[in-house]
Amino acid sequence: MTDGRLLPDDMLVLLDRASLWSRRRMSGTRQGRRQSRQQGSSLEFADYRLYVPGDDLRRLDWNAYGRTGKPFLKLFLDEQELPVTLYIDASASMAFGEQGQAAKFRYARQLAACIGYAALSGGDRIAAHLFGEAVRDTLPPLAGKASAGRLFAFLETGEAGGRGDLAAALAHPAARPRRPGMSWIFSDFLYEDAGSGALTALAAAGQETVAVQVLAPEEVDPQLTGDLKLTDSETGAQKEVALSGKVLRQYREAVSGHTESLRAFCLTRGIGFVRLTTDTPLRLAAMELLGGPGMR
Amino acid sequence: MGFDSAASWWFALALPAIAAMYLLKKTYDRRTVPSTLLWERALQDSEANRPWQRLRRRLLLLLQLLAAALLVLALTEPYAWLPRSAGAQVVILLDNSASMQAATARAEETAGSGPGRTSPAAAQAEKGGPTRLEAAKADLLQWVRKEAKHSRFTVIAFGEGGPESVLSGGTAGELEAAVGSVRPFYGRAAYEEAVSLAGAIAREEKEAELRLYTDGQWPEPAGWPEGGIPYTVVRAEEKRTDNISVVQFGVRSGTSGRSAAGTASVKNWSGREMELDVSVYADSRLAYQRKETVKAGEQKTLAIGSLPEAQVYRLALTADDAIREDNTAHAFASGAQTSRALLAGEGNLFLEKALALAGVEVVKATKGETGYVLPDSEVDWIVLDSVAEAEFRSPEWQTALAGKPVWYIHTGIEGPEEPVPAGIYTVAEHPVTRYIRLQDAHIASVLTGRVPLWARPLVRAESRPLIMAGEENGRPRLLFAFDLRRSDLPLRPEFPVLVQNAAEWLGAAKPGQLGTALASSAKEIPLSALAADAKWVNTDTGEEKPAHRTAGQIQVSQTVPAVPGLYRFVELDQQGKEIRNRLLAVGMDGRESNLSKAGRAAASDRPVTGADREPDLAAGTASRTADGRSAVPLMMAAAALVLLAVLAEGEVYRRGHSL
Repeated sequence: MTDGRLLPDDMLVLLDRASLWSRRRMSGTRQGRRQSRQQGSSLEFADYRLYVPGDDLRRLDWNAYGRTGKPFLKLFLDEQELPVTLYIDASASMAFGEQGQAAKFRYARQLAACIGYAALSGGDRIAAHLFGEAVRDTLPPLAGKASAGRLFAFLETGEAGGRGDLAAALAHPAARPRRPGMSWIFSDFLYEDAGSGALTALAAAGQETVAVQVLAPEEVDPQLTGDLKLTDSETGAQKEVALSGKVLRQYREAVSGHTESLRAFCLTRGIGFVRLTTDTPLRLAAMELLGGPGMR
Repeated sequence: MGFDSAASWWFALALPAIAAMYLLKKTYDRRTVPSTLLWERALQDSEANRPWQRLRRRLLLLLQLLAAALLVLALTEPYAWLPRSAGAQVVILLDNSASMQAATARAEETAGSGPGRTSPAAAQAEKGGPTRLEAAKADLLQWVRKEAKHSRFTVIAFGEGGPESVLSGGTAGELEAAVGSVRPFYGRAAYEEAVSLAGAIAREEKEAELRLYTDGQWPEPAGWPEGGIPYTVVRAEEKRTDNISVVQFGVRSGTSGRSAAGTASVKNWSGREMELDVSVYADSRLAYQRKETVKAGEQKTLAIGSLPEAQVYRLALTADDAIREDNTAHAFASGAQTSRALLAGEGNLFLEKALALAGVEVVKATKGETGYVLPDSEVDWIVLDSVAEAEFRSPEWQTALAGKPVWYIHTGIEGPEEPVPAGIYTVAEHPVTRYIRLQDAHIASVLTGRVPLWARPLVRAESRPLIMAGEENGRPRLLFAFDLRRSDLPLRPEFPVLVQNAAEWLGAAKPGQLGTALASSAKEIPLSALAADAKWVNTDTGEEKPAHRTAGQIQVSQTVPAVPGLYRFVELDQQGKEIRNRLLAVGMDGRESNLSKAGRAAASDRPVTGADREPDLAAGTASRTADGRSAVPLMMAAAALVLLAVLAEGEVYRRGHSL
């Protein structure tokens, strides 16, 4: 982090022991460490069934056949990888954040790196998307800890800019994961609908979703005074504000109201929700992410 | 250029403070935020009551306007009348000039209960209520009893020889007596002098305040003294401003059997037409009476014919006006008698002809062995034409010269003769130089040397006096320092006029009457050599007043009695026997007769600034009822408010348009 890398080494050590925890039985395409709803090659017994031509003879239970004379196949639960998709908001609003502190975008990428590394460590497949109004850059699915370098490189090269629209970005079919899995969205969720449409769309795509709202401390509690002409970093829209204690109080209420409505929305749909400000130390943030909305 | 309050310069410190505020001001004019979404939500409530929001935005403007308004207010040097106790030292300037003798009410308004009443109140009512002076005195005493029982008082009023302090640092009780002793002053009141005297006294005291009791009828402007002395102007009652006065009155004696005739000028100072009875008394016998109507502001000349011969004539106007003292004037018959002059000298035809033209009977002195011989016949005045001083050293001559007006021509100065510098002659105002300009007149040479002490130059060529005049022991003296025969002046048409003027001036001092004089003014009165004592006698009341003496000697310079009227100046010898008596008509200062607003030009009710040296009392704000209140300047307070407004503005700006 200090030398330009997204994650310091001690974070990597910490994340080595972590892995993502999904509530669902996953069905991946490759063998992984996760129990899948499909029966497979793991050691965990699932059921017996009669042999039908074409079955793998290696799975024939010869002991059962000896006792019953019928060819039974012993079925085990298949262990498959969890397809994890990371969506990182790369709109201009994410570039915000005071000097000396991690900008929201960098912080979001660091969090994404944590999740991605943890996923790779857990043998899951990871894909990542940078999006603005549409998905701007995509990292094809990777698996294996060895791919962590590619993930980090992808995340480090990203740059924030332009307008952002989560719903529009996910409206494109290619942007949505084809297989059920886990999706992490790192964004400030400063949308008119707070991204609820997009979250619904992801749920419809069979994704277990975690929404991570990344805000800068000065967004939550602005230290502004005077008569300001506020310019929207994305739309360029301007707003004249005569700042006063009352206006600031109303603003803070608006921020918490926005977050709470998003949290409530997520809660009712089984979507994980975490709000982090960029002044939260990365280690604490990672622990909250990995231990909070469903991680082990 | 001057500043009334140099302390105000401290306010200049506000300027760097404002500049510093602008330097330290954080500029947040434009600010990029990730999204204005939340701000819009936050401001939804506020924008619901937008007019109020706009007003809050305007707070800065309102404060700026307030500051500017206060600044303007400060520049107007405002002041307020606030209750204040009297100063420990109160200097009171009590205007007792003639205009303060104006009545404050009409005779018919206050006469009330009709004739027959002889109480003092009724008597007062008859003459039109209390005078302004009496009202002012009552005002003053009432104020003292109410507000300033424990102060010390100095009272200044007009008296003989200028303003004088009637009381100096006295108590309230002494003040009452002193104020009671203040009499009306009919002479020429020196306002400027009085004001500066009051200012000087007040400046020397701590916690001093000035109070000016006046009607504001000041014929001459008087600047208020500087030095930040608090003062109050208490205006006397001005219910009546209608006045009529005699401007001028003269009687010419009848010649060759014709009766005497008079001329009078009467001025109506009021704004309404007035009717009056004009009466002329010849030695207290009514000789003439007529009703006249004088329009508002009109000065009317009245011709009064067929007057009998008399020593003194009195003109009396009977009208219901404010000041009575200026309704009477006296005149002595003039112009009838020819004067006799003794001419000593070698003879000058032009001079003799001119004297004869002027109606002077010339008696020529004959030259004897030891000098000129004084003739036996009585003469009125003496002309010495180029006579060496040695010629009239005899005691008879000395007595004659000392007791009579003398016209010295080319004599009277001991010194060399020097040429007269070419150029225009400077001619001073004097009865002798009336109508005289001396243009183109050539004078070859002039006597230079020690001029007599009495001599005042009338005509000068550069700095060299040619004609001088003056009075010695009350006798007129005229001195021509050049030889008439060495000048073309006698050939000029101005010469007979000059001689006529000289003859009139020298002959006017004939022992007979003393003429007219302004009350309380100084007058040189020629005294008899035998006079050991003298007194003034009022011809109306018989009141006597001893004449002024210094070191037991009767003075030639006498102070004219203070009250207008006809006085007899009686000279007594050592046995107390009357030597002779002469009449003097005393009048009041004519400028005080003008009670109209145009007659005012005086001190102001408010503190005078450097730029406003001659303020107008009439233009000031009313302070008539300013008992126990004084003008407190609010300029400093206004300036402090400006500073507060500016500070508030800075704070509002810093916080963003709201507090």
